Amino acid sequence: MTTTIDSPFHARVAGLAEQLRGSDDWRAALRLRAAEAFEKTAFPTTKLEDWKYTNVSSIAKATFEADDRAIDDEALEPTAIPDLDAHRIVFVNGTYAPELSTSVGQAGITVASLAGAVEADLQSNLGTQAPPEQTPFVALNTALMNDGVAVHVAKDTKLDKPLHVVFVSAVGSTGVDSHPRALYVLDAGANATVIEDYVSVGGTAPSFTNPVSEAILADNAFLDHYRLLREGANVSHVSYLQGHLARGSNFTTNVLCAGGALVRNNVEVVLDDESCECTLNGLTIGHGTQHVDNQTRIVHAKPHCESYERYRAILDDESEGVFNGKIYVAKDAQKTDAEQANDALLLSRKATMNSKPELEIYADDVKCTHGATVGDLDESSRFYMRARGIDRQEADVMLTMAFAGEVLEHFACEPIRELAAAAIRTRLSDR
Amino acid sequence: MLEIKNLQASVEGAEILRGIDLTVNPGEIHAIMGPNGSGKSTLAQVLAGHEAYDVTGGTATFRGEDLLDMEAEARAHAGLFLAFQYPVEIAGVANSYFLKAALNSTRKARGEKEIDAVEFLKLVKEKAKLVNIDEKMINRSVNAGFSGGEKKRNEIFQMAVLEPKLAILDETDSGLDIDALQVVANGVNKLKAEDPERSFIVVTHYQRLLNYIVPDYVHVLSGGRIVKSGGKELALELEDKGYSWIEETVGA
Ligand SMILES: Nc1ncnc2c1ncn2[C@@H]1O[C@H](COP(=O)(O)OP(=O)(O)OP(=O)(O)O)[C@@H](O)[C@H]1O
Ligand SMILES: [Mg+2]
Repeated sequence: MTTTIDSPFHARVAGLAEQLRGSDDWRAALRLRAAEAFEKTAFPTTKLEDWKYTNVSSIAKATFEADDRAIDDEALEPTAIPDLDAHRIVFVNGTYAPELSTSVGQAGITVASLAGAVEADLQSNLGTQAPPEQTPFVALNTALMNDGVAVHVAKDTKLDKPLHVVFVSAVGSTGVDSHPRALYVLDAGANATVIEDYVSVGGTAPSFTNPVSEAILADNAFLDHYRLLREGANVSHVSYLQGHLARGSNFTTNVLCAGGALVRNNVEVVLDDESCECTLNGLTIGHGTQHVDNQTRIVHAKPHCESYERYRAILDDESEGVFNGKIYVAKDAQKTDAEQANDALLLSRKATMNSKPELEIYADDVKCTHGATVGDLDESSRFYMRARGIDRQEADVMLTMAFAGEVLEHFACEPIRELAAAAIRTRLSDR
Repeated sequence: MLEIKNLQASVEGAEILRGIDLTVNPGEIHAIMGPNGSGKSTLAQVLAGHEAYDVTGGTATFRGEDLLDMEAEARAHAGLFLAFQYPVEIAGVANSYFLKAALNSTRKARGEKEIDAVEFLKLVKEKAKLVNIDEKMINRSVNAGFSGGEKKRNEIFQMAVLEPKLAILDETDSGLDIDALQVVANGVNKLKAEDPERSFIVVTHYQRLLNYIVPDYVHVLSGGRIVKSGGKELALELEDKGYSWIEETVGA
């Protein structure tokens, strides 16, 4: 058994480095750094503790092709989120599609395509939270980054509507890869809701989405972030989200995993000053042979911060769930309050869940709780409902919905709660 | 209404019901008494369609249909209601939502139109008053964190909303103080007055309930069989002499 994987990505990135050396694009230096970092690393294997349950060799070994096809509104229509009133920015296979996007004309708000003109403030922040040296996937994303979204919310400005950023994998007969990038910079007191929505249209060739997002919150800023994974069963997805919180800021990230083949989400949030609050909500609805791995790391660097983490998984068929929740409390971070819960509902005997909390605590006056459960639908509840006339199918929907509700009630955006509920209904009616 | 013949049932291979014969005509109230573990709840659960119990012999006909052949939900749709000895707590499902789903699936199965939110609210208010329950309870999760008495009252409340043809009350009186007991009895009696054709099977250990819900027949279940049947005076006699008296006289 080898410990490294030969990947066609290495040749691609090596070829790119040449090109970048002669480029005058503002991102060239960062991308070159990333290309060099990628050359020095290798894709993780299951020998690494953090990748024990998730084997990315299928991604590493595959050959993907960049694809610059265009799609129209009609193709996108089936992915619309009912009742969502939002600004919409669309990327197709990683490239900004202005004809599918709306413009945000609000004072104090900048929404830019990274491939276009980007203000200096945003430029200087790119790559600061998720440096390419961090992991091979971030290096790959950064090296291959051709486009993405950059958002700046000025001091004390509230984005009037959620920003719905749709990343479409438009798949033809060959597999495509895209490496979307998102950067959110919120000045002091700024407030925004951002929805990263990953969908796919077209063919079923195995494809790969490798997004990296950075969120930088200044004092008292507020960001409600969503990651909706609704890609087809042919798309593998490895994401990184890196959040940095300044004094009194409040960051929530909600992840709904309702699609994809192999999914691995990595979230790290650093609470870097006092009185910050961070919430990580996750709901996975898995079926078939889906593999959904959520890795989270919350760093309590300073005192008096709170973090809440709740991940739930509903797993059918032979789907596999993985959860790893790291909480790091620095020596300084007294009066930390950290709660973590991970619960899985197995709808099938062949579904599996691997859950692991990892608490690393160096302060002595903290409150850290964690708990994990795995179970199936409660037979006595189901009988009680049936005895009242509710049929088995509906009883299962209601019980599953109740299970999901414990997380969904913390999703502030109602259309997304509804979207998740509809996904559960569809899931259970397909059985 | 209900005709049970030689009903036998086992759970995990253990034989529990050993041949039950019982006929309940429209409008009748039957009380079933008997020592702990004699099979009273098993009978109730088998009739309601719990799949953990294997029916190994006999028949049960409910309003002309083969009850044992029906899914649990179909039995409810046909008008059978079981008030559970141990009502189940369902966190995250609101009582009102649960009841509305139950009522509507019953209506749908009967080819009636579904009840809308306004009508439902009206019905719920009316029935809540009937069984004297706090309307706040209706918006809480089904039985979650309810006291024993609240759970039992909630069963009666559900019964009042669902308006069954035959209700089986499995020890709904256990653990109730005298006020709550009267509420339960009132619920039953009002439902009976609404429709004199309604029938009830009341499983109880205590004759005190039977002061309020007056049975037409009293049966004693012991060792999975009905070992004695009689009128309401049998309950008094049992209270007086205990079950051992029956077991001795029938020589079981
Ligand atoms: N699911 C089950 N698994 C195993 N044994 C069971 C199960 N249900 C009932 N039994 C057994 O069957 C017998 C009859 O139980 P049942 O609950 O019907 O009695 P009961 O007459 O209702 O008693 P009580 O007055 O205490 O409520 C008991 O011995 C009980 O242990
Ligand atoms: Mg019992």
